[in-house]
Amino acid sequence: MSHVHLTSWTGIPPPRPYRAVTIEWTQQNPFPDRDALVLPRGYGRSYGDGCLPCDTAILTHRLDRIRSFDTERGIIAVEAGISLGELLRITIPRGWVLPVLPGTGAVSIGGAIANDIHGKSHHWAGTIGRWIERFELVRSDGRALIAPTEQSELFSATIGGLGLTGIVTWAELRLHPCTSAKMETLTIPFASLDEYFALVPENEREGNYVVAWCDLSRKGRVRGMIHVSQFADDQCDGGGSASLPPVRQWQFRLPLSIMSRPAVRILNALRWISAPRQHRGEYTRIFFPLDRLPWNGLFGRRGFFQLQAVLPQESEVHLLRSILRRLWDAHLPLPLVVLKHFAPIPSPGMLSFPMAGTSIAVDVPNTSRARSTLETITAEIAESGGRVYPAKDVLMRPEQFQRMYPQWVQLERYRDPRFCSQFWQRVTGCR
Amino acid sequence: MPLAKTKEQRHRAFPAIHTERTTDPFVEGSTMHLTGLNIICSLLGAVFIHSNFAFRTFAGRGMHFDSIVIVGATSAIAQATARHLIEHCSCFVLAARDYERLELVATDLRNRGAQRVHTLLFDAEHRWGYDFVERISTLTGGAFPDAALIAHGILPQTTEAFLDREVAQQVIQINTCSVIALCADICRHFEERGRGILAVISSVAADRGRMNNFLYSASKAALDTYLDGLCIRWRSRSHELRVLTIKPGYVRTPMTAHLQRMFGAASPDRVGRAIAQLLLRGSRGKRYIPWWWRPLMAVVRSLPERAMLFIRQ
Repeated sequence: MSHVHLTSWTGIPPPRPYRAVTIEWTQQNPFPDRDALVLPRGYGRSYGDGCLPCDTAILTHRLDRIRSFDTERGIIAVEAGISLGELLRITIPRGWVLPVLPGTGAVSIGGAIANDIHGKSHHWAGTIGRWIERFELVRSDGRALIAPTEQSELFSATIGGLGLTGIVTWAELRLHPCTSAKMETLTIPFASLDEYFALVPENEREGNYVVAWCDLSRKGRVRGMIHVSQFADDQCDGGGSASLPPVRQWQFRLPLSIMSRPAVRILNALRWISAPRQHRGEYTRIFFPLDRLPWNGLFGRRGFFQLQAVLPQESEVHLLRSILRRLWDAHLPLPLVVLKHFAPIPSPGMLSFPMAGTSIAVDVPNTSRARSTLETITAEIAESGGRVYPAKDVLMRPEQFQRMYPQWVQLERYRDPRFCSQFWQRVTGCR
Repeated sequence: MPLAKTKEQRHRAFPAIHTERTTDPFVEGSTMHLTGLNIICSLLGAVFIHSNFAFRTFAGRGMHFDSIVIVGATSAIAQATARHLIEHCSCFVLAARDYERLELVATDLRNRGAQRVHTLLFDAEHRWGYDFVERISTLTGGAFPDAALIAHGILPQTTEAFLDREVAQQVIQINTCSVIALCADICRHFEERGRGILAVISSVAADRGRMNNFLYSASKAALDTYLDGLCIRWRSRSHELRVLTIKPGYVRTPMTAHLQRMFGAASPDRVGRAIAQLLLRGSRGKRYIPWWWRPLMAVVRSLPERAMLFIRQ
């Protein structure tokens, strides 16, 4: 039992010391002796207080072993603390890739299950919960093997269960075949929202990865690029994992934010000019853009907010325009705006975030004006039937959360009484 | 400005770049500059030698090994080292006490691409009556590996552990006696064969006893002295007999999980990567990980006892 300073990836809420236990082996008892509220934690990449414990953190990053790997069928069983980037270094040379990958490689498998993560492949792969075969769950009253066929309720509660149903010690996942370690990217520019909504469906195909970056630095103007990537078709085996780039983890935070509006305008212009129309490169460049630079450190000690919300398909255009108008009216610097189309693929997760529609993610430096603007936007999304991503939230009010996720009552029933996060306390009031 | 004609005039005009030597160099102002330059050069040299770049560029004397035996293979540092050696080593022999954990580590290595992984149950706490080298040779069905890494050890959990006879015996048995006994078998074999790399994980704690946990320091210091002598003996014998004493500082492992504060703690992965690099380069002698523990411990070694009162970690 030691103390570690913890915060979320954004730096909100500010770091403070927590008790922490590191678990080394899947078979050991992870619970500290005293009767404290615990929460498993991997690499702390949540943007909100969902990764912060009320009392004691159980650090899982040392559970990073591979239990079995069937290279014929593409089924791998890994311990829950291994990061997705590390996992790809092992699977990609043998022709397999995780079908669902987020924007950073420093996400643990346990965290990916707990937040039922999605990626640039949502139009064919859905969320990661669909690719989980089974996992072992350690609860305060014992451990059990959970699969969709046995204990299906607990399975569905744990997928997207924010780590509240117990500790996942290892999980078995299905992989997707890939042909190379290199990826080919096609960049398609768009100059308005209408153009975006027309271009996205015609570029989505099985096996490719689509995401759109937006430049909103001038009021009233939406321009951006749709990146359509797929694995190159050259059948090379990549030459072993030593040749693949390791996961880079930055430990760096500037004292002040450099993300002012003029700086963001310059950065966006540079990005707009320098983007190649076609590009062939390392897979990490496509999958893990956030690991290329210490992104969270650029926002200073006060940190930043990320609002990620999915807008329901019926009203997506109207709602998106309204959100953009509010952001522009507040004169906020918007260094990163990402749009993504979610297909109507159901997830096994009880509290899963994606639904059919468009997802928007906006990074905003932490100021009081940013906070109030994002609060208004969250309220608007809650009213119009959208959802805010719990993994990225620090602003939601209890009534808003309970309206977006009425299933929370069921999850509360499956929650282990010894597990709680600051997020869960904030949005449900449960202890 | 009038042209300086005589020696004195020239000296007055350009004292710093005056080149002609006078009979007494200490009279000259230029001596100071030379001294300053010396200091800067030696500092730069030290930085250069300690940087990875220097080793990578000028080492070129790495000793090839194809297989390695790791004792204490379930320790965090040993696991990390083994992972970093997968690309370079085709055969691993892992020895550890706990069967379940050992199998997990071995399976992990196999799944990460290691070609052959053998496991052996080995308990360092009790005396064993067999020849370690023979046991491993029968296990692999061939020769004993070219390299050996001994990575097991315990750290007493309390500062009052030295008052407990049982604990004191256990610490000395595991950290010192078992390692030296293993070395006896391995060294005999390596000396007969005329080649081999023996790497042992010691600690920076061995350099100086501190007010806390000097039992651990003492057990590792004995090991240090043993390996020091062995290293000199092997240096005199052959180019291909190498002893590497690895001295990590604080590392965040289960062994140190009970410590509240650790100065400059490194991750097991970083230490493992450094050990793998040292092994592949064929380094010998004492190596500190991270490197800055070396100058730091040089200072700590020379501190008077009164000053050690203030070092609590």
